[in-house]
Amino acid sequence: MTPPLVHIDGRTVRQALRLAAEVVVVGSGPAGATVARRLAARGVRVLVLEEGHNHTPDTFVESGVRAMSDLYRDLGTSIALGDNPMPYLQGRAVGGTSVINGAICWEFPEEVHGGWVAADPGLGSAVPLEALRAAELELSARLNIAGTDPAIAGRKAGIMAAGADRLGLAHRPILRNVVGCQGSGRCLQGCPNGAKLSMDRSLLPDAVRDGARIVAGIRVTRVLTDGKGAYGVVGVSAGGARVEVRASRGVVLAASAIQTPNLLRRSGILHGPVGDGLSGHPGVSVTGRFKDPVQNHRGATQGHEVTGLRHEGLKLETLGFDRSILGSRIPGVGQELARRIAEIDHYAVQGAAIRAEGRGTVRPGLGGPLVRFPMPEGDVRKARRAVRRLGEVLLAAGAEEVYPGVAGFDPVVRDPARMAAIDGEGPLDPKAYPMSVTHLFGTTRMGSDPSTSVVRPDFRHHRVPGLWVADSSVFPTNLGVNPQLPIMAMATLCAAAVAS
Amino acid sequence: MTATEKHWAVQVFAAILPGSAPSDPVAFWRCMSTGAPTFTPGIRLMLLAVLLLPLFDRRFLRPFPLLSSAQREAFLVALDTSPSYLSRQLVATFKILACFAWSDSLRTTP
Repeated sequence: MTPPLVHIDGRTVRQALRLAAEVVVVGSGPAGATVARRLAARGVRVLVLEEGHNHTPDTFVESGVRAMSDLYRDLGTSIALGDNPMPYLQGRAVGGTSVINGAICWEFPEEVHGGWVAADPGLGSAVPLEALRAAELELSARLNIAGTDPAIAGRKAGIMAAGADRLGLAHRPILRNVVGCQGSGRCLQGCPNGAKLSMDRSLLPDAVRDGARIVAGIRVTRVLTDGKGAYGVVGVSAGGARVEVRASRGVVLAASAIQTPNLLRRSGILHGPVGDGLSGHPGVSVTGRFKDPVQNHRGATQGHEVTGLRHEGLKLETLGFDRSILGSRIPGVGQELARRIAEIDHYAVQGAAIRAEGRGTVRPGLGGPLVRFPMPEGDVRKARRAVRRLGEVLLAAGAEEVYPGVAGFDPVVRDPARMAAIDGEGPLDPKAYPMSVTHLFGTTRMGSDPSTSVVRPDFRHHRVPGLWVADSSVFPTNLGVNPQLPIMAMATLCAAAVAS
Repeated sequence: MTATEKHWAVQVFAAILPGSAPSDPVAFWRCMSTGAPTFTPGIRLMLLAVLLLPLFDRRFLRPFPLLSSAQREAFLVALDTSPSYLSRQLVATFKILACFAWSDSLRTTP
């Protein structure tokens, strides 16, 4: 008989609870799930703590606001402060952000790995590219990673492909971890068909099958340490009770590049640049209006991408959601907005992820982590270029008009030459560009030098034995591509280090 | 948020996007309060700003509740096209909330 995914639901824990394991993993997203699966397969007694709750496909709803209320941290309103305050989106559920991402999978970029090794040769032997590739291969098979089937990609994918073709830009169907996708366009609200192989439907069940236990609804507040190292964690259940987990072999943090450094700092583990070096992929989007219906909210949520601009630090993607986000990206208010939104099925929205140079910080704050993410001029120029490229692709695909959404530039553009002009005429004020940031990295970076890094190249904390970090906060830089698969590949190496 | 605040928030939604009143207001506001408890104080502050700002604008000289529909729209257009980032953000935030309410009311199914 298949054991239930969740061993204990924190909502039912109303009295102090003490648990024990060999290894406790904090976070059940791609990094935590990978570590748990690998360790459990080796017979290690693993316990996974997750702040969010377990959700099943039959509970997922299309409504954006309801989905975000259930599945996103702070309804998606967590804000990174800085030159251009922007929301950062994180999942809060068993399975972490994999429950609400677009299921996009990219292999670890070779040039990024080369850059890491050039900056710190110690990483070459600790995280060799060959080992990452082997992990990706195994994960690709388990997660059924494959190109998006054109039959369910939706018209918005064809629009991006047509526009990119006319501009001579390389493009392709997005590789995704799905099986039996029906193109419902609801990846970001939780797949109602269970087609997305998010962690709660793939690696976590594997781990549970091999003996791992998952305790949901537990917010970890502190890592427990003594003179010998880390020996457990303490937290609060959703039912309001204190929960303590003792771990005989150690603690693995996999709570994200925001929550992991926040937890370390709150635990008084301040060695190295913990919470510094936050990097990410800020994103912009542009909407276009087409003569024929697009039904942007249908078809694979993110089924097609332009890869031919990566040398500029840009990657363009189709972008679906329920109609709310699309509506908010249509210009105007009042009767003008009502007139435009009446034809919402004629609009397509595309997004661009920017490989930013800005580096921010994470610090504990009163209501949660205090995140700062600067936007230097070089990144503003990339955002400006991204808006131009998105608009050009939409116009080349036949859009009657596009809406750049940049304060201080034309609200409506119908001419490709005018779209190109934004490169020179568009504002360099960061606040002119409505953005959000995803894919966060670097806040407990790994490295050989304890003075410039938090964890060693084998993922172990430089100063606290028995403490490992498995998530993207160890990445010394951002990647320029969607990090889900690289995170899991890196976590595979972390698990091997913990097991040894 | 109080019932009065919710009422006037919905009035602002309607001025930004006519017809965007939540079809299930209880569920909509529950999403806000449970999903983003730390966001709610910010919404209240922004709502207060939208309701009072026209009083200090020589084109209107009255608070938002006393403006006609056309004046409300004109006031919001002015905010939306303002060079001030904070003014634009007021509209951007309520526009997203209005679109959330509107989309939620569509009750779309696959």
